[in-house]
Amino acid sequence: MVSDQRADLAKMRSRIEQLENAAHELSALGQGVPVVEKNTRTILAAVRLLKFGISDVVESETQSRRRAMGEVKKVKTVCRSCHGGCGVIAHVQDGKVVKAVSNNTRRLNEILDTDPGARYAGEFSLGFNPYILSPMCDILFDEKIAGSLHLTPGQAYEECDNGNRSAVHWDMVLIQRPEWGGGEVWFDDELIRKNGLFVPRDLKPLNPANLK
Amino acid sequence: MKPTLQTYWNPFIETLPRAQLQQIQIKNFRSILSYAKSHCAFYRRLYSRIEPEEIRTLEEIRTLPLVNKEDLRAAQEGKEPFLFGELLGVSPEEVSMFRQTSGTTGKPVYVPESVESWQWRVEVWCHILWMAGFREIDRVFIPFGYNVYVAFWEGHCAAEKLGCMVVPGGALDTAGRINKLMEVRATGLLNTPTYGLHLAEEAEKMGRAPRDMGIRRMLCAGEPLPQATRQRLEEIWGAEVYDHIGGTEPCAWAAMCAERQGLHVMEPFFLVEILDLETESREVAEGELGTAVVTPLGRRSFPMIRFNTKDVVRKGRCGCGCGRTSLKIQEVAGRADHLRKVRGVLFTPVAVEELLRGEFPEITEYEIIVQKKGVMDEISLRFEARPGAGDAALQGIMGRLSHRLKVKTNLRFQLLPEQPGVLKRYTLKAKRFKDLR
Repeated sequence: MVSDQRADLAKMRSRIEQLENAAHELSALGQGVPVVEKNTRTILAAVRLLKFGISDVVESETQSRRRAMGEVKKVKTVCRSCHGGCGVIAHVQDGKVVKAVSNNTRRLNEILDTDPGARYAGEFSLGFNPYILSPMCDILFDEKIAGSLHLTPGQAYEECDNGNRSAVHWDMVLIQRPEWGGGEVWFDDELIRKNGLFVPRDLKPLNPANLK
Repeated sequence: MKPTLQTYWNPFIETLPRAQLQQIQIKNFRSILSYAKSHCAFYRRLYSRIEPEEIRTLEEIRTLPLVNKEDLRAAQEGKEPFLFGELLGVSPEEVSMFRQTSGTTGKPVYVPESVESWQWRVEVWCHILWMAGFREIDRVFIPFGYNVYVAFWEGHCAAEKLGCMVVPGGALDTAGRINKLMEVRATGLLNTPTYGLHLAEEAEKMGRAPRDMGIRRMLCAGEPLPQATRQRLEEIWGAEVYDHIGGTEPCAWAAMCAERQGLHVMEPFFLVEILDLETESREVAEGELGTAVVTPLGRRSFPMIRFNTKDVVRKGRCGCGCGRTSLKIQEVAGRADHLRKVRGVLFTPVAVEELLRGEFPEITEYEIIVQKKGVMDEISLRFEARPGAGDAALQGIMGRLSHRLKVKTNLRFQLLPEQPGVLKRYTLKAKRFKDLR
């Protein structure tokens, strides 16, 4: 039943997401207006049930297909030495960078081949310093840019250790604010950040409006 | 409006291959576990050494502690925030409904529902009602005042969501209810089994044959429904009678499909483990009895993780003639707290109910009493026969009854016939078993 209707299900899932996003936007617009707030809450409760019944099915379908095919995920990042100019495309499989392409692919791969740990992530973080908005060629600032994230091939620091060891520690920063192209961060099935702004209620205090 | 012919409420998830179903369950388990840990003081303490993200398999889930009803009481009594204590999973202003357990086993547990959690419960009930064949054309009569108890509220709201015409039958006496259900020509009933029998008895007294009242289907709630009682109800009402099992804390977690053989676990919504009765640590094999441990996977207002329902069920196989792939339970054998030792013999009152409803249609009401006589336990059965039964008939019944009880339960009962109408009639939860030791 499910596999015959994969296409329809996928369409339904995307509509459910649109509904959810629209409801969140509506709720933000009508904050404090009872008629909007309360009715949106009912819509969101229904959205959640549709996710339980439809989105979950689509996702498990995709995952089981992916497992069967060993599908590779593409992650676009920006390398630290050029500001927004040259993109790095990292193909990640089971946590390992299996293929990396950029405008200097040879050099990039040389660095990733330094040692075995250089192709695994040693750090991942979300940046939210509201006063740092664009790269300034100093990674200690750049990794904290508002609405950015970075994934770091190489060495993990001991205070937040995942066990990865390498001579390399290369923060690759991606800015997801709308003016830099936008984007979403999902942890498992929860949308954590969208276009550089945190979505869950308990993380909202970290959004720039609440920090400045 | 034309009735919907679709067999399944959700054709995708109800027929999903088991591996995928389990994968969804584990994913949702992890997410509710992490929600509970970050939102309820009770779970924060309970899982202080557990990282929800690390739970990836059913075996890892089985290492987590069980939550018992006593734990819930302890987490509520006198604890902040007021009323729901350390189990409240949303902020107090999000609570939109108050529910409580019936208190059959002690002080009631208070259950908060937010709009979201309540809609989730109603959705589960939509599945149940749809499985039992309720459709838009049905007129559903619910002969109860629902008060703060949850089952009929869920049934009411779910039937409404399906598009049935719902007729609430509270604040009426039984005769009033019979008149009302004939007035609206109800086609469906939500009932406790006991009240289903009582309603039929009263209708007959009023000169109405329940078979002719047009009830096509009945969904029972609130009490165990042995196969014999279910068939008795089907005969009396000339209707399809469906069972389900659930509770106020976890919601209704298994229900019957049109095959009416065993109950389907509502798998997309719950993770149900059936653990061995003694150690509660091993999943039982098909055909064995076990305690049901239930985790509702989507209720945030009152998260329940591995709640020990103390319902004793017999595990069945996965899959069914109806095409659903979920796990089935063959029968509900009663509650672990009703399993008693009488004169050294393990006894459950459901066995007596099964016998009386199945083989003794002459007996209309009964009560089992266990008490100490000297050092010995004594078990007696008070019963009422149908009005008009003569002495000779009564002697015959007692002879057969005494023999059958001995065979079925391995206990010798003292039989006490009563005049019709002496024993208490129950409308909600019947208490026909009294342990006075």
